[in-house]
Amino acid sequence: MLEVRNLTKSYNRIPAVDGVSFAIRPGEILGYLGPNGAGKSTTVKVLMGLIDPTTGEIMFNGRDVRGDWPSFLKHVGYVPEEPHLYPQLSGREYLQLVGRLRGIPKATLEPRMDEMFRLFGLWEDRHSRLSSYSKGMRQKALLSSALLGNPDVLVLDEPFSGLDVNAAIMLRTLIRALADEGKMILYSSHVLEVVEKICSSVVILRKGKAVAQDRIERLRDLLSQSSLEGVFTQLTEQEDPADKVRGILAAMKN
Amino acid sequence: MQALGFILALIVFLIGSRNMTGGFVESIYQKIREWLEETHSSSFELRRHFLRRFFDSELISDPDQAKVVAGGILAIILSISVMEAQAYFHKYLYLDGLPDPRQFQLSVLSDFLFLITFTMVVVALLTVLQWPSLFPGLRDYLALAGLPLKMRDIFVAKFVALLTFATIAIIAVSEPPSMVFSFVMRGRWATHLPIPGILVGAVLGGFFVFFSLVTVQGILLNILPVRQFDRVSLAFQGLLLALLLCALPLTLSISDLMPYMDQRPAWLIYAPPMWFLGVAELMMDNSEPVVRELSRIAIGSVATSALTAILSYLWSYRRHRVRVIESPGGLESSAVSREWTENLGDRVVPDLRSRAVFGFIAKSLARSRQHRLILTAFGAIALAVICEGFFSLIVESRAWRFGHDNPAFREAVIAAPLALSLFLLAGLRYLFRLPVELRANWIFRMHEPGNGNALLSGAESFLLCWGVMPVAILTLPAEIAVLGVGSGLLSELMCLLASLALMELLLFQIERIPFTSSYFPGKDPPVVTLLKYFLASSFYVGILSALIRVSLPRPAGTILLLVSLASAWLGARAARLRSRQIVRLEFEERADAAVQLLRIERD
Repeated sequence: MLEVRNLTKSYNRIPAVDGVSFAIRPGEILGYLGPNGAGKSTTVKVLMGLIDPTTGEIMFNGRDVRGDWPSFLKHVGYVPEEPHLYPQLSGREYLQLVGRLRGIPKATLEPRMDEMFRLFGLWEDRHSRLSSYSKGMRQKALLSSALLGNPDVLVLDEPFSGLDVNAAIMLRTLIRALADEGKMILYSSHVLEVVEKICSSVVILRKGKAVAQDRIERLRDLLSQSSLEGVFTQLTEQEDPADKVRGILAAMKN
Repeated sequence: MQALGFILALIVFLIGSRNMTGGFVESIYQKIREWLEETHSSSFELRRHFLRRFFDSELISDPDQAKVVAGGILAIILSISVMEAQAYFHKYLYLDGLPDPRQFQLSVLSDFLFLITFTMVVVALLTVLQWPSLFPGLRDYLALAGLPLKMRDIFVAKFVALLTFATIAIIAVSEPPSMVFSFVMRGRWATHLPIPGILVGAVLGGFFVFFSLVTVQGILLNILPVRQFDRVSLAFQGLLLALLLCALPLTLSISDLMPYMDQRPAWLIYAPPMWFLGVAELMMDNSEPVVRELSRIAIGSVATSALTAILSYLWSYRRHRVRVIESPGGLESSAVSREWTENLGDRVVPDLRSRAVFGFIAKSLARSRQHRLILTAFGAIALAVICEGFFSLIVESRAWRFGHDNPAFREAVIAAPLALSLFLLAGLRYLFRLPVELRANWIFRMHEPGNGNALLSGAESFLLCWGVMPVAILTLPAEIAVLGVGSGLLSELMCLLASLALMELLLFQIERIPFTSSYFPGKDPPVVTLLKYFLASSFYVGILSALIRVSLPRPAGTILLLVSLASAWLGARAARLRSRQIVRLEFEERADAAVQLLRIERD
C-alpha cells in the first residue's frame, strides 16, 4: 500500500500542499483532482523525489520511502504531465535508456521494447528522433517507458494528453486491467469524465488542501450531485463560467 | 617526402594488419559490442548516457546530414595536417643542416609552446561550447524523474562523463601533433625524443583550462540567483567564445616567437602556457631554476583547478537541483526594453504584417540561447579577422605604433565596418535558416497567402536595422577619430553602401520567414563553405578596404568608388526585387539528392 501522511510542501513559507493525506491499496485507482495551482503537480513531484517535502511521510508497504527513494522508485512507473524527454534520442534509444537505468537485462529489455512499440503503434517511428514525435506519440513513448519495468505503483499525470480516441480507449481499458492485476494507480487529471469512469475513489484539492476524499458515489450522494463535475465545482468553489464568457465576448468587440 | 612515406606506410600497415588478423579483430570487436549492448549498473548507464549527450546537437535534425558535415570537417583537418606535417618536416630538415644547434632547439621550444597554447585554446573552446552541459540541468532532473536513481549518482555520473569527454578531447587535440613532432624533430641536434614532454605539457595545459572553466561555472551557479544565472552565464559564454575565437588564429603566430624563446622575462610566471612549456622542458632534462619554478606552478595550477572543480560540484549537489526545480521560470524583459523595441518597429516598419515578422525575429533572436551564441561566434570571427589583419600589417610594415599616422592602423579601421558587416549579415542569414520551435510555424503558414512579400519585408527591415545600421553607427566615431571628419564620413558612407549591396546579395532568392523553416545542414560541403568565406573575406574586406584607403585622398577616385558602390547596391536591389515572384514561402527545406542528375535530355 502507498500511503501519504500529512504531506506539506511550502515555498517561502507559503504552502503549495498543506497536510494532504491519502492511501492507495493494491488494485485501487485514486483520482487526484483540483483546479490549476491546487497542488497536484507538487504532490506528484514530491512522490517522484524531485522535490523534498517540508513535512509529512510517504510510506510504501509500511516503510518510509524518504530514506531510500531509489528502492521505492524501482516499484514506480511515472508519466509526467509535460513530456520532458531528450529530443536528440530516438524512441527506441529512449526506452533503452529507461530500461537500462531500471537494470532490465538486454534479453528481457529488447523483446519488451519491441512489444511496446508494436502495441502502442510506434513501430514504424521507433528509430525517429523524439523531437519529431507528435504530442500523442511522445505520450505513448512515456507510457511505454512507465510500463517497461512492470511497476507496482503507477503515477499518471494527465496520461490521455494528446492521445487519439482509439489510443485513449485502449489506455482506459489498460488502466483498469492494471488495477485488476493489483497495481496501485494515482491518476491526476482535469478530465472529470474519465476520472469518473475509471477511478474508484478521489482526492479533491483546493489551494493545497484536500477538501474531499472518498469514493465517487459516496461524494455524489453526500453533496446531492448527479456527476463528479458537480461535486468538483461545488467543492472547489469555481466562479460562474457565464460571467467569464460575458467578459470574453465583450473583450472581443472592444 | 619522408613524412608522406611514413603516413603511407602507416596506412598500409593498418590495412594489412586488418586483413591478416581480420578474424581476431572482428571477434574482439564483436565481444566489445555485445558487452556494450548489455545492461550494466545504473551508474554505468548514466555515465554512458551523459557521455553520449556531449556528442549530440539540437541544431541537427538529420543524423545522416550531420555525418556528411563531420566527414567534410575531418577531411579538411586531415588535409591541413598532412600539409603541416610536410612543412614541419622540411623546416627541421633545414634546421638540422645548420652548423649551430641553437636555431633547432629554439624552434623546438616555440613549436612546443604553439602546441600547448593551441591545445589550451581548443579545449577551452570545446568546454565553452558544452557550457550548458557542464552540470546536470533541469532537463536531466525532469527526464530522469521517476527512475530509481540517487541524486548522488546523477552528479557523479555527470562529472565522470564530463571528465571522460574532456580527456578524449584533450588527447585528440594534443596526441596526433605530438606524434608528428616526435617524427619530424629528429636529427643530430635532437638530443631527446620529445613526445613524452610535449604530450604531458599539452595534456596538463588542457586539463588546467577545462577544470578552471568548470570551476567558474560552479561558482556562478552557486552565487547567482537562479533567475539571473541564465542571463549571466550566456553572456559569459558569449564573451569566452569571442575571446577564444579571436585567440585561435593568433596562436598560429606563436612559432614566429622562436628568436625570443631563450629569454626569461619575469612575467613568464603569469603566462599559463609557459608553465606547461616548463613541464615539457623539465622532462627533456632542462633543469634551469626558472624551468623548475614554471613546472612547479603548472602542477600546482592543475591540482588546484581540479580540486576547485570537484569542490564546486560538491557545492552544487542537492542545492542546485532544489534551486533549479523549485524556482519560477525565466526572466521577463524589462518594460523599458519592451517599449523601446516596439517603438523602433512601429517607426521603421509601417506595414503591420512586416512589423509582426520584425518583432518575431527580434524576440526569437534575443531569447534563443543557441541563436545568440552563434551570432556571437560570427561577431568573434569578424573581430579575429580585424585583429589578425591588423597585426599582420603591423608585422609586415614593422611599424610598432598605434597612432592614426600608421597606415596599418588606418587600413584596419577602414576594414573594421566591412568585416563586421560581412560576418554579421552572413551570420544573421545563416541563423534565419535555423528553426525555433518549428511546429509553431503554422501561424505564419496560415497567414501566408497573399502576404508573402509583406512578411519577407519584415526580415529585410530587420537586417537593415540590426545588421547594417548598427555597424555603421558604432564604427563611425572610430573612422572620424582616425581618418578625420571628412575622410571618416566618406569612408563610412562607402562601407555602408558596400554592406547594403552585400545585404541585397544575401537576400537574393531567400523565400522564407526566419526561424520557421526546417533545416538541413551540409547542403554545401564544408570545403566550399570555407572557400566562400575566405574569398568573401579577401575581396570584400581585404581588397575593398585597400581601395577605399587609396581612393580617400583622391577626389576623383572617391567619387568613382562612391558611384560604383551605389550602382552595385541599386543594381543588386533591382535584380532581387525583379527575381522575387513569390508563389509560396518555403517552410520545408529539402535535403540535396544523394545522387545529382546531370539533366542531359535528348531532343
